[in-house]
Amino acid sequence: MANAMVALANLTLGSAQASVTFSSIPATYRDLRLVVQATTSGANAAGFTLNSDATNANYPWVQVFGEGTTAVSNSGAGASGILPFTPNQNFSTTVPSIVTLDVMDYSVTDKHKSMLYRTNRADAVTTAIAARWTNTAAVTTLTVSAISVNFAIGSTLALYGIVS
Amino acid sequence: MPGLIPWGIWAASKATAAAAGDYELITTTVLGSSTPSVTFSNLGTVAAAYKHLQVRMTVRNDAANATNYGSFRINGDTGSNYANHRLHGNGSTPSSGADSGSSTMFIGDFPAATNTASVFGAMIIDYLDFSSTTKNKTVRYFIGQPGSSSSVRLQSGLWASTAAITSISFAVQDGSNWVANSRFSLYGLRG
Repeated sequence: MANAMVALANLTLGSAQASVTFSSIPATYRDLRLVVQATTSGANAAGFTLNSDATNANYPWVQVFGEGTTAVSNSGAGASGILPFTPNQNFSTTVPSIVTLDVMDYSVTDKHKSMLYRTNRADAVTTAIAARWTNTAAVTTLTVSAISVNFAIGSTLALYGIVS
Repeated sequence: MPGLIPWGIWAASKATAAAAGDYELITTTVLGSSTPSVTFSNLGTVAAAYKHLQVRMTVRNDAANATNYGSFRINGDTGSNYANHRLHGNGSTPSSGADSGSSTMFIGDFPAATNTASVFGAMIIDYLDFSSTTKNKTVRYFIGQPGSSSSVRLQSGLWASTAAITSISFAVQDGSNWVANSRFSLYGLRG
């Protein structure tokens, strides 16, 4: 049988940049998996959008996380035009944040897009998030962005397609 | 300058045809109409090549609430052989819970009839060493329901049996139905 998870793109940043866009994503697959390991040029938020939709209200999320003391759960929506990877923490200039994001059923047009992701920043937080893009359109573009800072050289981003 | 990676570039550099691999699709069920349960069966044959299994689901049910619980049984076992531990967040209060001696494996809450339209809950669940006949079976899962009455869960589960897993059946806990367009995909991971 064919491999069910196929690497669509895999890059290591050779220069600092504020965003990376995976565009013209084909509808060949059922789910997408994004894997990011990144630091930023300053302490600020990072996250992503689908199909360039920067409307905060279109990205509700709920999370449970720990920052070293008591576990916390909260919920919210996008901020600064992105769905944040760690809503309660910034990315760091020195400690890479690690994100594993699954966009479920990205290629169908009968569902809002449900997402599950785990983000870890070893010096600050570990979190599990469920989020949604309130749109039934197929996802064709995924943009990973940092707010007012750049992803640092050496940050890695990989996108995979999973068949069904 | 934003980095832009159009598919055309991937096609030239990356998009080799999917080769046989270590993570493979076994089967997918997308419901055409409401149904109370979905079963992956005959796993001793169709999944014989694999060490572990993964199920990826996007589902909704027709219970008359915003959410309703799902569950699964292994090999049709209705005995008190299921246990779980969980970390849960509902957007305001984190909690941890556990069940033991249960007759089904509890898997959390999914959108139901009064939830926002077009919202489906997501779950990714791993069945480790599913064909072993010397170990009790352990599973782990990640579940989210990002609609109204939203929640997110990390959970582990135990089926207290050393029998090889040959079937897995997913049901809505109170006998309601999974609705049309709910999706259940089964994958195998080679050992």
